[in-house]
Amino acid sequence: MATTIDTKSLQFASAVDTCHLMPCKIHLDGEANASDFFHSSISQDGKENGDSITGTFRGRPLNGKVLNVPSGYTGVLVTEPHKRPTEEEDRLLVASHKYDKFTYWNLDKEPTSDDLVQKALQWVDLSSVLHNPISPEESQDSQESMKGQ
Amino acid sequence: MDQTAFESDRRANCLIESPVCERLKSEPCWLGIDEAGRGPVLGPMVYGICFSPVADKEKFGTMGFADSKTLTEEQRDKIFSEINSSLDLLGWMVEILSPAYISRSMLRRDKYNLNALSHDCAIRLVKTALERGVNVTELYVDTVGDPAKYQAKLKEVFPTIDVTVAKKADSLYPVVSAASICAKVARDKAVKNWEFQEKITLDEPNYGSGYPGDPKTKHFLEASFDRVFGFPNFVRFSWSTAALIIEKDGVQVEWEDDDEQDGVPENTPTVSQFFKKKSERPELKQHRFFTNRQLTPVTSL
Repeated sequence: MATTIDTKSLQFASAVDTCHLMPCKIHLDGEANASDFFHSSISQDGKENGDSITGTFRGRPLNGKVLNVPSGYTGVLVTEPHKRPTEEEDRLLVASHKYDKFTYWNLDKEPTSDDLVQKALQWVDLSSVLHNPISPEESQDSQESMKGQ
Repeated sequence: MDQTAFESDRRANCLIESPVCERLKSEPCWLGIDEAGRGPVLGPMVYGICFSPVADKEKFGTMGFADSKTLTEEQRDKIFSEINSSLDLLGWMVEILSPAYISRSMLRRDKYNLNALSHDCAIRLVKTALERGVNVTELYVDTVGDPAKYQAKLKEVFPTIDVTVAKKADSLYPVVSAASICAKVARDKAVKNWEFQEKITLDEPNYGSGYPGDPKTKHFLEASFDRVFGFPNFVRFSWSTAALIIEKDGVQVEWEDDDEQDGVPENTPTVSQFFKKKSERPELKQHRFFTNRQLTPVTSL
């Protein structure tokens, strides 16, 4: 089974200015009245954590933080327009919305750099170090420092 | 009772207090604690305290305080205005515990139960009175949970104060009755003036007593229900009445701590899994840097 994202759909994806990554699985694909019920629960109480915010979903306490999508990247919300009949078949995903910042929420836990989402974004820096071409001087420098040791 | 502070953010708790006259600071005082709106599935729960000089106990007893539950709303409002014109004899404070705070507390990862929450609120109010300089020597409180345990808890926090925890304290001690009237007046006003930040519109603006058995309350719960979010934050999500409606008619929601409630979490490995046959070929695995971060590679673009 392979999963394919239709990259052509990206240009038609509409930009949204709010996007929430919830700490729970909501078994619904569709619209929800987030602005009245969820956005109104969000408050900036920043006691010790300057940029942390709190919210409530179904009465449960959430702690959140707004993250910017790293430059050079685009945040994409994908949907699956055709449900596949069996698990074995390939999936086709289509980009419906894009965003350049999003809020991730923890259940009753202050956001820290140890959270999965923040850690996942570390890969962006790491991959650029790993994959960027190295100039001849740099490679020589590093070889010399190896010898030095 | 001016509730502007609470009305500016109904998600948060709010302390409202009377001025404290000099006599209450210089003379030994008795202090009563009581609550209003503990049972309802709707609206805030309010804790109230009232305090007055021990020397004036008799005079205080003639002011006609009675358990707030035995009085009509008009009687309570009248007595509350009498309370406010006797501020040379007494002082009061209430803390409005918002329904959002109650839900959040009770639905935390480590559950904070209503008894503990009530005890802590009562203790907080007495501490605030002491901070204002009130010379509290006697404490009277209606029991919440086991009276002996509550008494011990209060005694530990206030070792120098004479603590009496009793059933029906609100009808035995007028200072507790006065506290119950302050709390009930605050709760009634907060419920009556509630504005929904969720912008819900009601065909029937009367939501009854807030007790789950009241048909008007039931109707309100049905009318304000949203299958994704559940209810407006006027509703205490931690009440089984609310939870059952969500479970029955709401969209299913899974939380990461769902299975922790009944002992062994899901996906707990069985012992035999650790004794894999050696003949099996080792799988090619991603480095844990990626698996830890739930990252999977894109094979082509």
